[in-house]
Formats: sequence, C-alpha cells, structure tokens
Amino acid sequence: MSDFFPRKDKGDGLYRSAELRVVLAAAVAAGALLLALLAVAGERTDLLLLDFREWRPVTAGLGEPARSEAEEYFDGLQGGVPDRRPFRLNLQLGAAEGTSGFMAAERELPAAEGARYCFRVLAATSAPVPAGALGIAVSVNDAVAWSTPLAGPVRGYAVAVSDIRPRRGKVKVRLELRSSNRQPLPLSPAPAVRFEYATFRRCAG
Amino acid sequence: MTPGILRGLPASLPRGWALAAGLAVPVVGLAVLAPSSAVYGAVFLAAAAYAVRTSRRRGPLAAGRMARAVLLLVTGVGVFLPALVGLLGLSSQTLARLVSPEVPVARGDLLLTTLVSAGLVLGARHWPARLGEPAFVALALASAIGLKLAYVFLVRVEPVSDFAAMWALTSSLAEHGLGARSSFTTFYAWAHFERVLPYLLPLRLAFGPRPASYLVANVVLGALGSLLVYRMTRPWFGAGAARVALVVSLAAVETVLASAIPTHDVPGTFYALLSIALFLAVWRLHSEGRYRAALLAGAGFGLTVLVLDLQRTTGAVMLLSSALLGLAMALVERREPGAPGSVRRRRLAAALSLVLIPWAVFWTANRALRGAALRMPSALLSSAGGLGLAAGTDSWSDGSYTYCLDNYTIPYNALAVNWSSLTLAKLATDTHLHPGARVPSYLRKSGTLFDLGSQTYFYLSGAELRGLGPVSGPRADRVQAISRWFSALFLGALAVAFYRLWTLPELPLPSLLPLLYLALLSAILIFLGEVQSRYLFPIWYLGSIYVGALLGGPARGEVR
Repeated sequence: MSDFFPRKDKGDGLYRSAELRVVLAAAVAAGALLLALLAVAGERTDLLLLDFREWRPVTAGLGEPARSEAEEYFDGLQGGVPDRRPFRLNLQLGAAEGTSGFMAAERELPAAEGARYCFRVLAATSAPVPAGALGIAVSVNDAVAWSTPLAGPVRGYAVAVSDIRPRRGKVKVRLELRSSNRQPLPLSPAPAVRFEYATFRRCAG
Repeated sequence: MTPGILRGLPASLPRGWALAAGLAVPVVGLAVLAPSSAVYGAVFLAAAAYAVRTSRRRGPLAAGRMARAVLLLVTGVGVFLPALVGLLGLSSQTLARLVSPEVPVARGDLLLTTLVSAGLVLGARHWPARLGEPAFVALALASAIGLKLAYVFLVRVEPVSDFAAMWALTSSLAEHGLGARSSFTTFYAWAHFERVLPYLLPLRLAFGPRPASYLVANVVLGALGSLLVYRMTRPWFGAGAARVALVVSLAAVETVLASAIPTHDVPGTFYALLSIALFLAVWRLHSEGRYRAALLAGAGFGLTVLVLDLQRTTGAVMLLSSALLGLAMALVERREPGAPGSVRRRRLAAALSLVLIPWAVFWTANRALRGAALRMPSALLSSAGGLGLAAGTDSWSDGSYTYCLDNYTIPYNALAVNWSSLTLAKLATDTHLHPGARVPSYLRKSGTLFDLGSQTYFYLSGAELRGLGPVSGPRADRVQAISRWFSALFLGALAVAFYRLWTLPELPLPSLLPLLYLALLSAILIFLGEVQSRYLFPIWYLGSIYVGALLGGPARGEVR
C-alpha cells in the first residue's frame, strides 16, 4: 500500500483536530441559523405559498353519494407523494363529466378587513389541449375574476387577480376547470391541470 | 452607584455565561416570533456553544489547519457523501443484476473489467524507473489516442440531441456568419451558440464539415486533459500517482465513449483543467516572488475561466472554488526566505493575483462579450436561471432531467414570471411545513447525480459498429454493465482516497483545487439544480488525481 494510505500515523490527521471540530460546529450553527431565519420570514410575513391541503372540491348541489364520490375522486387526483400535496392542486375532468364537465376546488382565506389583496397562481396542463376545448377560471367571492380558454400547444399560464376586498375578514377563492360545450374534448383521459405556486398577499402600493 | 436591579449580583459575570446569554437572547427572540424556528435555534445554540468551548479549551488554532478543515468540509458535503451514496446504489444495482437472469450482465465481464483495471493500475504504478517517465507518458497517450481513434472510426455515432443541434448550428454559423444570432429568441439557441464559439466553430472553420473535424479533436483534447492531470498530480503525490491518474483518466469507459460525439463534455473538462493549471501557475509565480508575472497570469486565468463559462457554464463555480482556495492560501502565507516584501504585503499580493484580478478580468470581459451580443442577453439568462432554480429545488423530486423537463421546462419555458421570488417562497414554505425535507432530498439527488455510468446508453444511442450493425440491445447492455462496474470501482477508490485526505498530517493546499471545484459543482447541483450524472463528467479526470494518489503513490520507505 502506498504512503498515501499508511496506518501508523492515523492519529496525526486533520480529522481529530480542534480546528475541524470548530469548523464543523460553526457550519452546523450557520445552517441552523439560516433555517431559523427562513422559518421566521415564512411565519411573520406573507411570503409563504398557499397550502392546498386545506382546499376542498366544490360539491354544492350534489346528493350525498355523488358528493362522497366527487371528494374521493378529488383526493385521488392529488397524487401519491404526500409532500407535493401542500404545493399542488390537480384538477381533471372525470369520464362522468363528459363534454360539458366542470370541476372546482375552493378555500376561504383569512384576510384583514379594509385591506386590498392580490392572488397569483400558476397553472400547467398535463398535455397540449385543443384550442378552446378546455378553460380555467378563478372566482373570488363567488364572482368570476379571471378566466381563459386553454389554447393549443401553450401549457403554462400565470393567473393574477388583484384588488380583492375581503368580506367579513375572509376571501373565498375558487379554482375551476371546465370543458367547452362548443368543442368536445377529443382526448381521453382529459388533460389534467395542475395549480401551484399560489400566493395570497396584500397588494403592493 | 449600582442600579437597584443589579444589586446582589457579582461585579463581573464569567465570560462564558455572558457569551451564552448573548447567543441565547436573539434565539429566544426568534422562537417567540416563529415557534417553528425553535428547533433550529436550539441546534444553533448548541453548535455555537460547542464551537466556542472547543476553540477556547484547545489553545490557539492553526490557520493552515483551519483553512484545510473548511475546504475539506466543503468537499465532504459536495463529493464524499454523495459519492458514497452513489457507490452504494451502483454496487447494489450491478450486483443485483448478476442474480437476475433477465438482465444480460455476465460475471465474466465484471471480472474482466476488474482485472483490466487492476492490470492498468499495477502496470502504471510499477513502471520501471530505468525506462523513464517520458517514455511512459508517450506510450500511454499514443496507445489511448490510437485506440480511441480506432473506436470513433469503427463505431459510427450520429450526433443526437443537443449535440446534433450544436453541430448543425456550427455549420450554419460557418456558412452564414455570426449574424444568424440576431434571430435567437430562446435560451437553448443562445446556450448552443455560446458553446460552439470556443470549440466547434474554430474546428469547423479549420477542418471543414466532415465529422472527423470534431472526432479527432475530441480524442486529442481528451488525451491532453489527461496529460494535464498527470502534470498536476506529479508534484503533489509523486510520479507513480501521476502515472496511475493518467491511465485511469484515459481508460475510463465514459471518456472513451465521449470521444465519438460533438459533445461539450470533453472540451468543457479540458477548459476546467486548463483553468486549474493556470491557477497553479499563478500560485507558483507568487511563491517565487514574481508578483507582476503572477498578476498577468491571474488575468489569463480569469480569461480562461470565461472560455470555460462559454463552453460549460461553470465559470462561476471555478471562480468561487479558486477564490475560496486563494483566500485560504493568502491566510496561511508566511515569510519565505529571500522573498521580497512583508507578510502583509505577500498576503495582499496573493489575494490580488489569486482572487481579485481573475474576478475583475472575468467580469470585464464577460460584460464586453455581452455588449457585443456574443453572450446570452441578461434578461433571458435571468429568466432561464430562475426557472432552473425553481425546477431544481423541489424537495420531493429526484432532480432528474425528466422531472425538470416535464414539470417545468415544457409547461413554463415561455412564461414570463419572477421565478426567483417564487422559488424563495417555495423554500420558505417547504422549510415551514417539512423542516427535515432537505436531508432526504440531498440523499436522493446525490444518488441521481453520482449514478455514474448511467450516461453510457446516451453515448451509444444511434451508434453503429461498422459492418456489424447497431450497438443496441444486449450489446449495449453489456457495455453499460461494464461501464457501471468500472464506475463503482472508481467511486470506491475515490471514497477511500477522500478519507485519506482527512487523515493526512500535511497536504499541499493547491492539491485541493480540483476536488473543491468538483465539490462546489456537485453541491450546487444537488441543492439548487437539475442532477444529470453527465454534468459530473469532469470527475473522470479530476477524481483520477486522488485515485492515482491512493493507488499509485510510492510504497512505504520508497523515495519519491
């Protein structure tokens, strides 16, 4: 064996030195401090992304068996990786919805009365959608605030709704996916739409 | 007059208590502001207190050891732990395939790979001194160049993927001039343009449109890279180590396969090695007291790093690693007998030539290139960089090319949003919701990045053995198995070599630069980026230095 790998001088190396212990401890301390500051920034500001685990499917008007079925279908769409769930919300029209299908999820977000809020979210389709066959919409406090048909090969959309005014300390936001009556969706299964990077913050200025 | 509230307390508190209170108060403040920061705060307190206690109890700390400890810590996180993860994955996969009749991995192939590798190492290590070093180097280079040329002419490989686009762009630029770049609107068009400028375009202009224009150059440049490895290793670890490093870098399966396509792997690695060699030249000139020459060489180093940045987009990594090492060197600078100037002046000169001048030259030249529209526009770079950052920081992903392509590149490539701000929000949210998620993410992405040998299939796609048909199916599987087993042997030797670096009483600081560059490259990819094992192509050359040191150094009692 070469002298690069001797056995007798094992105790002389850097790995037992006070210098290495100091550097290791300082590195751990620096990393922990960085994470602590990030946690503080997250909790004390509106920097955090919205947690989609708290969103539920819209099932108004459905009877009990259909409501349970819709909720089960919705939960099944959210994927098998639990860590993704806070960040992503998946919507996809099921076979039963057909060409005039509709699927939505919503959440009441706490907000300060009198302040103006801005909502932003990114949406991506799982596959190219024929132009006009499928559309997404964002409703705020039961009124459609933004909507667009998903157009051809474009896969990603940035949705921004500003100047939102809370009612009784809350804002109800709904994300919605619907197929067009005019143009039947030829793809089976229908493309899924993934919502992510959602923020709900006080508007700047 | 003592204020009432302090009456009864001793006049002076122990310094340890004062320090602990000073550390604890802000941490308690943080925990009050955000309960989720309490655990991190406690870890911070414990680690900081331990660091302070150790530094006070063990007497004065040596600057040289401290610098080495910092450098080795970086390389530990960047290379050692990920290499161990990769090694475990590679060994278990390759060995598991031996017992699966469905996968054509033969024990004979693995035994042959082991024997050939061992034979090459032993042959290099025990090269008779009477035959001389130049004879060995000439023999190794000539044999490798001959065999690789035979490979690239016997195995025809059509350019695929990015490489096909780069070769087509090169032809277009050669025929129509650089004006074609005015039509570039996408990140990839600009990235390909930057990559062909310092390598493929000059070759195309000099040797014409035949594939031989890049095939021969790839082989020769790969061999020159190995020669640089030899030249670097020899003064640090001895001639035997240098010979082994030369042979290992020449014979690595993927360095052979990469010879055959117009890749940016070979030239990118060559420019990285050239940059390291120039940095070492700067340090040598400085050590000899030739400060002006060192400054000039430092400027040359900055320019070479810019070429590296054009070719492989890792210029910033090289600048960061060289700056870290340069500052460590400046810190441990001592008065040399006969060298002019005080210690403070020597430290200043070292910082200037090793850190400041290279950065200034790189920044100025880069700005000039951007001004001349020879680099990607800043806005495009920043939006693509932001998208890459978002794609590379999902703690639940494996960081693979497929994940980043499907989840980010395809849906969001054309979307104009502030990705940096969104990424920061995602990181804060993830830390808030899943405090420990970065640890499994680090291990998972390490496994993907250090899955060495997995790119073999890529180098073989579209390959055809002249007269015998395509290199696909069982034939390609066999090459893949050999490559992966070689990778497992290589990573095993590298991990042991790295352990040895920690236990050595003394180590020339400059010898850490290749490892530091590799470690920063790897750490940045693991924590912030997409992790394709092809991005680690330089490991076959840079890692060979330490594998050579482990396996080829002089035996105990033998004189170097």
